[in-house]
Amino acid sequence: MADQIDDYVKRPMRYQNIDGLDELLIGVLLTGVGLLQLFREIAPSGSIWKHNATFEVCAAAVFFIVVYDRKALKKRVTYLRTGYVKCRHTRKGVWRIVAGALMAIAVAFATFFVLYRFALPSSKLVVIAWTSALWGLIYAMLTWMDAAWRWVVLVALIVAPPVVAMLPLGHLWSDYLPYLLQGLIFFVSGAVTLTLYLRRNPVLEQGVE
Amino acid sequence: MLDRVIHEPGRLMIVALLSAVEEADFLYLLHETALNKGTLSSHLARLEEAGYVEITKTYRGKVPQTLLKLTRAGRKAFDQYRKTVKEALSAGA
Repeated sequence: MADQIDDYVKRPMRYQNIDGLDELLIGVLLTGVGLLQLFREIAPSGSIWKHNATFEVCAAAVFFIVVYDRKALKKRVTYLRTGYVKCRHTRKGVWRIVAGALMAIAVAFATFFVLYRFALPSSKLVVIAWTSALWGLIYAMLTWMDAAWRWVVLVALIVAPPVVAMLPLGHLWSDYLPYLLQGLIFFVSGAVTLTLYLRRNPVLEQGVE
Repeated sequence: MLDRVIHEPGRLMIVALLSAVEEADFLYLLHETALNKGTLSSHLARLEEAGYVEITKTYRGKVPQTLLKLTRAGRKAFDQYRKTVKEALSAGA
C-alpha cells in the first residue's frame, strides 16, 4: 500500500513530458543551433553570418522561441486534454537538485578526462561521445523510459553521433552532422510521443468540471 | 488511528496526487485517477468539508477551470496518514 501511495506522489513529475513537448523542443533547439553553426561555417568570409554576435543573437532567438512555444503549446494542447499542474518546489527538493547537478558535473568531468586521456583517438570524438552520453542521460530522466521503444532511441542517441563522427564524410559533415543528429533524434522521439498522446487523449468538451 | 477521510481509496489517490503539486485542475485529477466526474466531485466536496482541499473556480480564457490545492491541514493529515501506514506495515512485517 505504501508503494501505491509513493507511485501516486511521483506521478506529477512524470506528467511534465506526457505530451512529448519537452523532447520535441529540445530537438528544435539542438537542430536549430546546429544548423546555425553549420551555416556560419559555410557562409562566405566577410559575411555578417561569420560574426560571433550574429550567431549569439540568432541562438538566443531560437531559445526564446522554444520557451515561448512551450508555454503556448501547453495551453493549447496539454491543458485542454489532460489538465494543468503547477509543480511544487520545496527547499529540500531544490537542494537535492543542486546536489545532484554538482555530482553529475563532477562525474561528467571525470568521464571526459578518462575518455580524452585513455580511450578515444581525437578530442573532437571525445566531445561528441561525451555530449551524446549527456543527452542520453537527459533523455532518460525526461522520459522516465516509460515505453520499450525509448530504449531504441536512447541507444541511437548515445551511439549514432560518435559513429557518424568516425565516418569518412569530409571535415564539414563529420564536424556538424553528429550534433544535428542529436537534435533530430530528440525531435523524432518528441514527435512520436506527441502523436501517441494526441491519439490517446481527445480534447474534452468545454465546462467538463 | 487512520484518518477515515483520507483512507477511502479514491480520496487517497486525490490527496497523494495533490501532495506533490502546488496546484492542479479538475481535468488533471480526472485523467490521473480515472474516476468519473460525479465521483471525483463528490470526493473533492468531502475533502473540502474536512478542510484538506481548497477549491477555486476560475476561468482560463473563456473556459471554466477548477483549481485544487491541498491546505496546510491537508498536507499535515496526509503526512500523518503515510507515517501511520508505514508504522502499521513495519509492525506487521
